[in-house]
Amino acid sequence: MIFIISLTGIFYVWTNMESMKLGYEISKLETIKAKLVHKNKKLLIVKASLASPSRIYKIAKKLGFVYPKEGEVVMIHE
Amino acid sequence: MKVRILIVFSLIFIFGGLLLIKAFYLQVIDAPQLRKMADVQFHTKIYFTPKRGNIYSANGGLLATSINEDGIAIDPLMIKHKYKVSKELSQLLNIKLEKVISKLNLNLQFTWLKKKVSSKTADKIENLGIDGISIVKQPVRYYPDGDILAHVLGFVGINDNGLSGIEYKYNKILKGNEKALQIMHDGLGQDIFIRGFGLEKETHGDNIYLTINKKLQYITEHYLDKEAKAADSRGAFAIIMNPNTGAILAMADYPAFNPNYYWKYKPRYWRNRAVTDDFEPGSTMKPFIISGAMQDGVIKPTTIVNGHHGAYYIDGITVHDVGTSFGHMNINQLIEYSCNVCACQVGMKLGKERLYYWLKRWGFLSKPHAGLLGESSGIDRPVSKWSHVGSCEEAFGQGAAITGLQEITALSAIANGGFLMKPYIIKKIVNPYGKVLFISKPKVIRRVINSKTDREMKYMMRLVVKGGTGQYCKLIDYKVSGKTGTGQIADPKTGKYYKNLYTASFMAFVPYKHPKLAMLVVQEKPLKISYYGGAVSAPVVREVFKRALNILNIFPGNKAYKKQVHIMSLNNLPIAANSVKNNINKKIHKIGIMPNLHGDTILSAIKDLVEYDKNITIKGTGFLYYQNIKPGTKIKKNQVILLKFKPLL
Repeated sequence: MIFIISLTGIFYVWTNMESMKLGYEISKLETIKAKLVHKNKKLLIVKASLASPSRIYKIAKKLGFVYPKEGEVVMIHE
Repeated sequence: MKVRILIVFSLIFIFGGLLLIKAFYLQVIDAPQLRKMADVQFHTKIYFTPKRGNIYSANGGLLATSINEDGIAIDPLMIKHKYKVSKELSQLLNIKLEKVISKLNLNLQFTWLKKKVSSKTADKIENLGIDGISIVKQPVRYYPDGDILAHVLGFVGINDNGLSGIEYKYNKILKGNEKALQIMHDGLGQDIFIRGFGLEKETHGDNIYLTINKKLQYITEHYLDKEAKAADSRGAFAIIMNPNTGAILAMADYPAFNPNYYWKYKPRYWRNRAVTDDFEPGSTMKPFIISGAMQDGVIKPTTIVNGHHGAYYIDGITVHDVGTSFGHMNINQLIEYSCNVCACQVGMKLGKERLYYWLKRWGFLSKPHAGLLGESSGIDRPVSKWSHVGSCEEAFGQGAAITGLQEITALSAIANGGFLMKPYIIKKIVNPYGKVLFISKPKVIRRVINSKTDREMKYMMRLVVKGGTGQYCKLIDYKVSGKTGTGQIADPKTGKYYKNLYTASFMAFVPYKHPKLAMLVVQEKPLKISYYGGAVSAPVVREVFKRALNILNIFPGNKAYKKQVHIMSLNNLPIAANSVKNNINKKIHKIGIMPNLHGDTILSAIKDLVEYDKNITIKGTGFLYYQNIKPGTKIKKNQVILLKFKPLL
């Protein structure tokens, strides 16, 4: 009987300890996640700035690209 | 022995009993108080900074977003060894030493040293461990495209509150709300377990999707800016609308400003002229009044009006035509050549009451409610206060001051068959979890004119671009309909019109029969090139239409193929370098006989089969590798010609 009670007690303490450990781990991961999410947001802003039509237009102009003249574009019926 | 045992047991009982009593006190009597104390020690609340919602274009392109940035705040009264600390901070933050010293000597408990620093710099400063210096996270608004759509978007000030444009008008929706979350931490202050993952999202503001097409917006701004600079205009704006729905596809203002640094510009740069400014439109008003007169049966397209050779004396005033003078003309020509004298007579015939009725019917003099900040309803005197020649002046666009948004909405009604649509700029509102909270649907306000009148007016406006005052807007592949306007500007002090200052406008829609785009360009006080709408504003519409139609894949119509091929053969433009060799060896084909098209581009293949363009089915892109009719065989009438293309790899 005493054996069973002490075993249950040990199990209870062990689960509590494990849950605490996991709690710490989750907290750490949450912090890492928050940092990554922040980084991701910053990168999205950079991406949006790089994809800005005004920037693309400037680069295209530098590379010598021009809009097709009238009559040079043919629309095709699908 | 017995005594010893007795003593030991007694001690055990006494201490055991004491322990039990203590345990009873702790667990039962003091329990509620102790629980409270523990709660304070182990549980704490963290507050999430609300994240402002994003603003997107119709296709989901990011237009405005927020991010929490580290800022360095100081409590100068708490900082000791000020010179030493100033030196360290000056190096880390790259700020002049004198500036840091002056900030550290302020008699304040809180001030910003630098509002935006990188997280690395923030970590370094935190590691210095100086009392009185703290890292404070605060939201910063970003507009990745810089000045694109700035006047519509507006900007955000301190405390994350919108100060102008969409940011101001929809501040409540975008801002989100502060929420606290309870967490546990241990004796060392480390967080143990955070319940309620994802709760952070609840604090986020909702995201707004606009009806704006980013590509169209860019080209509109680009060409408006180019032309307004060349014409040295004081201000200008352009609007593109989908005439069938009322959705605003682009809205550009000149001069531009960058909302990321809005404080560097004077407030007059922030204004969205397209919706806030009232102006007397001049001749672009004619199609609306003439349509009304036709609908009322006062005139017909064939009605003849006397142009009085450019000067018409009526009850004490003389109405002039600018530049050209006209004799007798019909109503089609009135619109085509924009005759003021003729419009004046139609206005007089229509009468004040009916003319005012038609102004209101087209949506002028009432707020459009498109969801933009500062929409004006336009200004006009009540009919009772109009002079006896009031309806003459109003008929060619003087007297009533309207806004660009009202005019493009009315123009869209002409384009779509006579239905006045409710203009709108908000496409949808989506919450942080992706649930759509609101979605706009096209709404017809009323039918203004019937389809017969509408067809007649569209034709008149087609004549304007074909051979009238709007020829600068002519396109090769598409049929454009439009109307020019050169409005006089009244001096606010005297009420009289300036002699040489004008509003040059041009409005148009395309393609003529089934319009997909309506556009208005207005330039305020152009001083160089010309002050005529047809000369300075029509080219902007032309340049934008040319590209916008390709961007939106709007088909020019069957005849355009032949026209394109014809033009290309006239200009002798290179068709494709790779097909040149092929063309040399190819025998000139006879009409009715299938030529060998292998290696041809789509365009050159169509060129050879121009007589059969309706029967041609094209698959793929690149160069021809398959044709269903063998070279040299006769092409039967109505036979399907299948051509398959693939890129050269």
